[in-house]
Amino acid sequence: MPDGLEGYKAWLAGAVPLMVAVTAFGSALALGRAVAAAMEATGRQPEAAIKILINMMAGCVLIEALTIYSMIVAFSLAGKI
Amino acid sequence: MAAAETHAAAHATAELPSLFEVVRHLAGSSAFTAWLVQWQHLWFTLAAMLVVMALMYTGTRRQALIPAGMQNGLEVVVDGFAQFVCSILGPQGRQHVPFIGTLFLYILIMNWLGLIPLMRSPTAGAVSSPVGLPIPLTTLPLAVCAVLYVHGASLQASGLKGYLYHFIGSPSHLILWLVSPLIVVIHALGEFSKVFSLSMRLFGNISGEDTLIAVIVKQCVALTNALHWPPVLPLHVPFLLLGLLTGLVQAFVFALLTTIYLALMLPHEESGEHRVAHAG
Repeated sequence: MPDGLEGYKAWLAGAVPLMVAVTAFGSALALGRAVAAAMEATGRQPEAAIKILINMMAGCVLIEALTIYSMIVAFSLAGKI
Repeated sequence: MAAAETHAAAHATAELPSLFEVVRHLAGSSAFTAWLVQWQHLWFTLAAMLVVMALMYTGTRRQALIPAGMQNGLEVVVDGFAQFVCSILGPQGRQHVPFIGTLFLYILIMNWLGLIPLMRSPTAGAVSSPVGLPIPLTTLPLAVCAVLYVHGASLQASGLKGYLYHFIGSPSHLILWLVSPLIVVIHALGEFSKVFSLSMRLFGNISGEDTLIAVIVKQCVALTNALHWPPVLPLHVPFLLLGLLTGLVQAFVFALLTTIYLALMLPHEESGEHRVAHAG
């Protein structure tokens, strides 16, 4: 187990990439569902494709923002390693 | 350049040098150049404001009834945005279109400024706080402005009593009156989280995009050095196009979220369809 005065750096070096990876994984699942729903809606009504695209973009940006928060924390913690 | 590199390495994020850093490197670091570099995000904000003003000025200089050229393009943008905002807010949204449209154009120009060589996005600038999270320099004031505008518009539209009534959750039943202190706390936390999420989303996306471009440029320089070719291959151009798209989408989402917060806080009008549904 890493311990001592600089032991936290070993924990950080392992935990920070893991944090970003888990957040990206969850976000990828959610984005896949959102885009799949948008594709299905476009298939049902191709004339509304642009409106569906705009709504899908808005939803995707909100989901992606959660991964961005985790990336910001990763950048601020990566400076402490 | 070496100082910027070590500075970037210490913060573990890469950055391409901006115009003022190049000037400081060439002219030597004096008080004037240090001051220029310290406030560089402010200078780029000024540049973005001048670009927006110049765009609007050239478009409205000779207003013809049948628009052509720049006026035509500007009318497409302004009218499209007004239609979009009014589709969310209803006909009363017409008065909020100037603020939200200016927000959109301003953030769009600032995001795209970082893609020009020797320039940097003001929205990607941040100072590190003792808490650990970076404090964005431009997006946090923008988010505060947007949320304050939403609250001000709600105050103006519903009056002080209506605004406070909405803030405690619009209680119509005794139980709702009893839980209203809790709802006040939740509402206040929600407003702070709106400010935080608006600023952090814009900052994270744009600074991440700029960092990506900087890292790719570093790889290109290393690649052409390894191959002993004198010119540097511009292999980062696809990422510049991605940065264009990200800048556009993030500016649009900022304006969209401000519009949605407005729609949530403004009084809901009883439209004709409501009355028909109640009668049926």
